[in-house]
Amino acid sequence: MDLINNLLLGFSVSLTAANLLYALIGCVVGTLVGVLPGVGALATIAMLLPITYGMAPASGLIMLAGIYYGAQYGGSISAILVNLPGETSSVVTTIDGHQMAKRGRAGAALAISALGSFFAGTVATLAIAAFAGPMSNFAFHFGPAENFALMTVGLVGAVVISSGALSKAVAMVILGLLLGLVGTDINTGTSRFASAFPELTEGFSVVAVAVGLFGLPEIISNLERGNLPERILVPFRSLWPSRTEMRRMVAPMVRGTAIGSLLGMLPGGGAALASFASYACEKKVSRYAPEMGKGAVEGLAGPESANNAAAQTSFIPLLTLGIPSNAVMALMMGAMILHSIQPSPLIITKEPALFWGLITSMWVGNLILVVLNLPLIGIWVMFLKVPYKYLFGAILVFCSIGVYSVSSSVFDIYVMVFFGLVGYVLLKLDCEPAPLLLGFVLGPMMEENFRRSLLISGGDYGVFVGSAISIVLLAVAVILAVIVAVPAIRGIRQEAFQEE
Amino acid sequence: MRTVKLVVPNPPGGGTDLVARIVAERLSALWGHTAIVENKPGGGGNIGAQSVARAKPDGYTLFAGYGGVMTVNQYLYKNLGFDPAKDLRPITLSASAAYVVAVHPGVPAKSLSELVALVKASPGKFSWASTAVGTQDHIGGELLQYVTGMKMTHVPYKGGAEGLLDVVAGRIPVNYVTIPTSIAQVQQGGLRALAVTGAERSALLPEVPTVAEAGAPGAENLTWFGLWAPAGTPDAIVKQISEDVRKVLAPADAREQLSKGGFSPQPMTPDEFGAFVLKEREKYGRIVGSLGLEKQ
Amino acid sequence: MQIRDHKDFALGSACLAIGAVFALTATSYNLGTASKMGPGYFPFVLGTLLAIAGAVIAVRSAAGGKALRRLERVDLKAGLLVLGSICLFAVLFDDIGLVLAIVGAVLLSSRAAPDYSLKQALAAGLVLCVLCVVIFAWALGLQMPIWPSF
Repeated sequence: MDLINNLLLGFSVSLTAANLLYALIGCVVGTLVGVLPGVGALATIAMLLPITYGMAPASGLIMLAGIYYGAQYGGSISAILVNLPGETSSVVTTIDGHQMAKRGRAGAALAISALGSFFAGTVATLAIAAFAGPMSNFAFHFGPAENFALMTVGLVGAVVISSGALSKAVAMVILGLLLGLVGTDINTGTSRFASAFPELTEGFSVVAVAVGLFGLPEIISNLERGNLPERILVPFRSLWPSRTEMRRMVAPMVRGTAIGSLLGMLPGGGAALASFASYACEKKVSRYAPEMGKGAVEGLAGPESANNAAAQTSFIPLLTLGIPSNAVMALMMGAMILHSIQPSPLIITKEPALFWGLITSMWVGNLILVVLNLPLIGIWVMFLKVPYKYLFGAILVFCSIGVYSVSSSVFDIYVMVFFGLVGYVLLKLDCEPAPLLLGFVLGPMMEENFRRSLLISGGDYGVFVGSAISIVLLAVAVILAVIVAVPAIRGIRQEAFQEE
Repeated sequence: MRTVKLVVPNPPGGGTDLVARIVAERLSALWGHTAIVENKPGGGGNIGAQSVARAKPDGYTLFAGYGGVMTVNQYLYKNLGFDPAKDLRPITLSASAAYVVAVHPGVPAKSLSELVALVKASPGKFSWASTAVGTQDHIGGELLQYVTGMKMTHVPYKGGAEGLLDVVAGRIPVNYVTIPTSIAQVQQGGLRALAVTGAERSALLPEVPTVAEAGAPGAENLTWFGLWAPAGTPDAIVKQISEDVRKVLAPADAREQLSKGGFSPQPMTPDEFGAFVLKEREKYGRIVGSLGLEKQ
Repeated sequence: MQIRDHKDFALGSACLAIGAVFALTATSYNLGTASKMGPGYFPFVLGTLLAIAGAVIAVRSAAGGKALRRLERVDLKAGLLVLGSICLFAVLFDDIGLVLAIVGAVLLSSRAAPDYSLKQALAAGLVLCVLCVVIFAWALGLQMPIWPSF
């Protein structure tokens, strides 16, 4: 069979000693930068790009790709242990992952995250190998109108993931959308809500917003009178998931992988949506939905699988169309071009060794990450044994440096402080910040795609129901909205009855 | 020895950043002490430029900027925080890259002049994809329309690649994007390239005519990168750095490294570079003026 | 009508106010029309929606049947010290470098924890300095001022 021959050819490249070493270096560096808030795969790959010029093309690409998915993995570690999302994709991980850690299941949470990611990585890699050609056209079907419909589903999903009152979640999503619009409007060049600060020309730094909203309020509330924990961890029984936990992670893992693999192929918003979409899905279909938000395995396994699957499949548009789907992929394209490799469908026939080598190396990289990280779980958890009074100062400093390093900007540290304050107020008002963050990420994309659709159609709103994909997506959004709204409306009526 | 800092006004990863890193790496090798890149993005590039304008004029802090910041921004922003004509001294151009005017293969235009005729024959029907209003890509596309007299609706995207997808998919007929971004689709027939915007043909697309050859002289537009020092940096230092950049970009492997990214190295003396910047500034000033954009 | 859920009332009022500010500011940009939107259109619509959502939350906080919920007492000290120490870090960082900024931030934030002597905090700060210089400046090669620049 062709597929098997191709994979064998690929492994003959990716399993050479040198390439294994580069994959290992990439994964280690990636995990490290992923653990640190702010310092992400994007900056690291950009800094290392010129160095790869001197390496064999396959080795260079394998190392850079290793950094990319290593960072995805590392981001989950700090999200679980100290409630710090290093990237947008690990925001959802903080919800149930950190709750598990607080209940003494930090080791299990890390293991679930690692195993879920590995499973997703394996499936997604196989999917790329088997279907890269046919799937490449998937991205073409998503124009501005379809993207807008997808964002709409995402926003309704944001309301679904919150466990509080419907009206509050809606308000938070809208607030997030508004904050996302701060900065320059790409359609006219108008600077919106940013005139006082030139630093806001390109909007708020997403890392500063995420760390501020999630990381800082957690620390403040831990330090409040009477709350100070001696250590973050309550005594734990085992570093490993129990048999029940293992059983419960299977279905969410499979669903998360499917969602992530599909969304990852879409340019722009797809990968960012993947973990949120998976969480919303679990919340609707899982038997254990009522436990979600309090440390449920489902709320961790699903999104962790989804974001890793999306990280893998986001290579598809690049490898098959020569069109990068996000900033990291644009850098990978830069790295290929530096080596005179033109990413396009021809790459499979012109450079089979490189193409299949890179694809198999993704799986090898995922294997390295699991082999590397499962034994390391004990060490990561040891960090939490450091008395909290020493730990929180270190977290504050790491956050500040990480947020600063994204664009060498002290202003971004103040942005983080501001959103720390916002997050703290929300915490005190029992209001969840996750819908706000999703709105913030999707806001600008949603507006751009909406206005772009109308620009292309010449102002005709029919464009939004112009294709089967957008009709189906909008229908999903409406159905989801009704499912969420009905119990809420019933709730209001109950209140009204009680009054009588 | 102190480190020399090349301040890049963009996040890591774009063309400006890549060229600056190549130059920094090679200058370090030549000088025997480190030259590094510091990314200071934000404010449409003004924040990075401003920080260098305020740095000590001793040659240890340089601005590795791109054309737009030093030529277009003054027409777009009320307050730049620096004076591009006075606060920064030109050292040298480092590299430049041209754009491609391309159409979806379904568009019945085999040349730029055919496209112009087609657009003029059906006013209001054509749109073109490019990056945000006020960027070099957008202004260049407007320049092309200004020179040829065709009028199309601008559909802006955050990045050139995103717009490329909609053009290849056939939702938007015309594309104005850099050569490296579009070359894959041009080579495999997803796009038909009509002209490149350099003064000479591109080594990457040798069969595609220049805008001048295609009947639109004056529509040349390059995205270019250069080095500046804070005003008050001594002549000798500026001259030395300019010569050193010329030296490190001369070897074949340096040229190859840049040209693979779609850039051609183009070192200049400080005086040549100063005159070049002045000319660019005037050219874009006219176009931005004709667009009637409000200063922010 | 009596406000029963004080938390929701506060949240709703805040959303109402923030939404109104966004919507009003948006009117100073070109609004455009529904088929040809200007830069102000989206923020105006969203600001209005946020104000409405805020109003709904605030009004419902007075609904009968709602459990009585008062605002929690807020421990200002912890919040101010944590956020303040980050601000101190930001202020010191650019001028006198990473090392002193870390020490300053750790010393100030240590006041938020009980049984945390200045001596312990100083020791923790110094260990952290070494860690940060090794990780960020040395291993990752990030550019940042480490020592005062004079």
